[in-house]
Amino acid sequence: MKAAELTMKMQQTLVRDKSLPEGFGKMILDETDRLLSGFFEYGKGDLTLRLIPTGRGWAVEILLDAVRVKNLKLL
Amino acid sequence: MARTIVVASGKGGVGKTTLTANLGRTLAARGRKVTLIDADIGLNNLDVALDMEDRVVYDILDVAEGRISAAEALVQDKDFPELKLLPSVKCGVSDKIKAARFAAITALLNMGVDYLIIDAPAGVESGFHRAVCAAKEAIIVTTPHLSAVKDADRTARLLSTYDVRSVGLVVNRVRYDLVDRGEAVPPEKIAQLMRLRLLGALPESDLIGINALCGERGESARAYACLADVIEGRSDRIYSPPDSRGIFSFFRRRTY
Ligand SMILES: Nc1ncnc2c1ncn2[C@@H]1O[C@H](COP(=O)(O)OP(=O)(O)OP(=O)(O)O)[C@@H](O)[C@H]1O
Ligand SMILES: [Mg+2]
Repeated sequence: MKAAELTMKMQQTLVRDKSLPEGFGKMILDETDRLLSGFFEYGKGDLTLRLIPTGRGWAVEILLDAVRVKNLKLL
Repeated sequence: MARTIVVASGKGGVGKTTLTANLGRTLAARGRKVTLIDADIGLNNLDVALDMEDRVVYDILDVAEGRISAAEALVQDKDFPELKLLPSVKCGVSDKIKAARFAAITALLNMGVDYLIIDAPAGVESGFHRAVCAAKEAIIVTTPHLSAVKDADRTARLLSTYDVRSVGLVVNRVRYDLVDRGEAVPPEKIAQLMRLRLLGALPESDLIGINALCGERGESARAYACLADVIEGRSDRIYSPPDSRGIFSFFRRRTY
């Protein structure tokens, strides 16, 4: 196969569009779990995840009782 | 304070351990103080790659369980006394060392060295998490193969959720003969597609295939020297063999 063809194939595999990337939800859950386990009592307080488009990608804000605990930036 | 760099990939067998060993030696040969940490816990490889296997007495589990201090567990390289290794455990006990403990161990080793390089395991599971949590910078290694690039890309995206400040790409096992014939995607193009900064390109090498270390001369040694220059911020030249790209090599690297 020629390099141009391979490049095209690679580009297709790495396609990034407006939709959220595959595995995005699991990533948020894993990350939230990692962040919160230890100091967040489940069932107590309000956990909010806010998804923010950044132009280049997405960021997720994790809020506990409306207080921002962490920003996750996602490509 | 050392620069703490994790070497990760996603796909296994693309050359993380080989890169960690050779980059460590290249930096140490320049007089830098380098400590390598084998975070592939349960599958010790870095000591083997560095030819230190028979001098390993203690390992990271001994440190984690408080039998010995982190400094005491380090194995010194025969050629470069300023190059040291914290070996991993030989058998499968990987979940005995939690990420926080691992990070604490790396923090202890941080003092008085220039570079702390962590060889991460393949995959993006707990071993990856442990290795990445401790680092501030990341080198993602891939080969030019589609499956490796795809996994590396996922890893890069995952890394963006950690406190890793900078992520760069190294393309290993580049077949410049194929690149020249237009039959393989050049490293610069791979980095561009992945939207990552290219830190280096390393050629396919029989020497490395046989004994892991690239030696002080030859193509691989020159490629590692370029990579070390980029990592140290001395240049942004990406290695390409003079005979293949010839006079155009200079222009090539600006095209992408
Ligand atoms: N540039 C190269 N040229 C030829 N062979 C190479 C090159 N880089 C690595 N290899 C070979 O590829 C194999 C895998 O390398 P290595 O163990 O460094 O990969 P790894 O990413 O650490 O693997 P793992 O995911 O299992 O930890 C080794 O046999 C090594 O010798
Ligand atoms: Mg390895």
